[in-house]
Amino acid sequence: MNPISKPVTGIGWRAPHYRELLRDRPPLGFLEVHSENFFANGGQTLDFLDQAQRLYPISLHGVGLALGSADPLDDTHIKRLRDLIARTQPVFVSEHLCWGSIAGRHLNELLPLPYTEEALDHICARIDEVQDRLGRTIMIENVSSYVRFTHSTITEQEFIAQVCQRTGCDILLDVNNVYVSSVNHEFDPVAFIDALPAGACKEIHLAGYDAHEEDDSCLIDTHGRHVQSPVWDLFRHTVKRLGPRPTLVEWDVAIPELPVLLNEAAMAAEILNDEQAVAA
Amino acid sequence: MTNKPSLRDIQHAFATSIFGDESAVSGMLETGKQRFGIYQNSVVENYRQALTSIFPVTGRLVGEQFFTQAATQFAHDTPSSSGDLANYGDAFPAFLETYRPARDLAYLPDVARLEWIWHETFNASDSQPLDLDKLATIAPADYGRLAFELQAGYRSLQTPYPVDRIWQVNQPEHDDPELVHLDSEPRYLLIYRFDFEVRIANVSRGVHALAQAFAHRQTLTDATQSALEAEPDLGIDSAVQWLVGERIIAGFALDGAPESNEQDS
Repeated sequence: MNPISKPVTGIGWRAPHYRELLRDRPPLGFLEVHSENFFANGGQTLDFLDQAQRLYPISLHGVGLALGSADPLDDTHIKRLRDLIARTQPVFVSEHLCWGSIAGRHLNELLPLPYTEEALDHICARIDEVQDRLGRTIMIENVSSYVRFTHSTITEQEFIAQVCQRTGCDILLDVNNVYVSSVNHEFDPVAFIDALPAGACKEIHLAGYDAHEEDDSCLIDTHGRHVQSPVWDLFRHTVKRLGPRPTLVEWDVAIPELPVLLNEAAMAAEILNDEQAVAA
Repeated sequence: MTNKPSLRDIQHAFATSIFGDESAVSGMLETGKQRFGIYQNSVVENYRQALTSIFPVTGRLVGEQFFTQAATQFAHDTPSSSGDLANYGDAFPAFLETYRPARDLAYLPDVARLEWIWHETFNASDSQPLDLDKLATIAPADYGRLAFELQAGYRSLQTPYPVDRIWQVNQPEHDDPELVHLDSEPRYLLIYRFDFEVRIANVSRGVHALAQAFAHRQTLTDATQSALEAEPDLGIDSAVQWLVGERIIAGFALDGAPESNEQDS
């Protein structure tokens, strides 16, 4: 196998697997953690990350910066992130294209933006500021959503493409989120992915969704089960279009045994390999 | 609505609707109310999860259903002020004091206080053990001017309830069911880190007074006086040795003047 074409896959590393992964050291291309889980001043959790950093490339994936909020950026949050970046020397730093707080009240959820010119100007200015203060390019991830705003004047994919073009940030393409939103809002997920600037997509996320208990036209992005087959199909298409990209499997609730998660990553690697073989 | 709402207006309406009045946002959304309910559920669930992970013993004492109800009420009453949910819940113990369904569980708020302190101590800055060689350079005549510095993870809790015992017997690894008698002596608890391990020590009134005096940067002379007022028979030397051995004392200065080996911020 050509070592250059070796596909890279990783897992989202969560608390139930901290010790086991450090002990067993399974072969993985990278580990991704939620940045906020390591915002402690010290202690064991941070030490686990220090150990992991000596074994794997680390990707820091934020969930709490609230890039799209109308509130000012939280200085403490940025400082913590900057310190963590200095400590872990991550290969990737990413956040979400969403908002999460208003008037000082944090909702601690990845909330969808209205896709307007105002929101676009706002989030671009914020990403510029964050990239300046962190001294590096970040990736932004598309979120799954359950509602859309009547005021939106731009499609989500155009909005993302514009953000990248204006700020120079990269895209963390969450294929599961595209699929969930495509069902919830009845759009074509393939067209969505094809509309994104391929060169800017530097990482792919995969995860599991669940059907809404009372509304079968609605999917919920639970990160609580296996990657579902429509998402694997969309992933194959994505890899065809973009070429192989570092790919991460996330599982955040009802977290299974580590081998289950590693097996999901192995399945992603197989698809990356297949597409690579076809392209060669 | 005649004018287009601003981004701020939309986010205000959304947040208001999360915690109650859905009419604030409903006119702004393409889809129906049921879909907005997904966010109402997930926001409150995220808060509940954060509280569940920080207050596991409190949850175990009252049972899942009771805890869920209390956490839901708290989540509605108490805004989160940080994008990091590890900061959410410092007001939960005080909330439990006023939460009517818990009014017969007088010890519960102090159990929750201990759990919040445990959480803070677990995540505190790492401290080094006291440098004894350096301490040996201090002339005995200056001992009275020593102001000991405590480790970053040090906290104390005074409580009329044996919450340390309640905490211990409700740890997952503790498999012997055990009755904890509530009518025991008042507790003076010190909570601190030994390497990465959080320790909870039930100490005498005098040791507690001594540690608290050091925490307030009193000199050894003044701290000794405070400790002996609290407990006339206290052996100061052995109490200080214990605080050093447990690494609660992590540094020192003379007369409270700042010293060069300050820990990280």
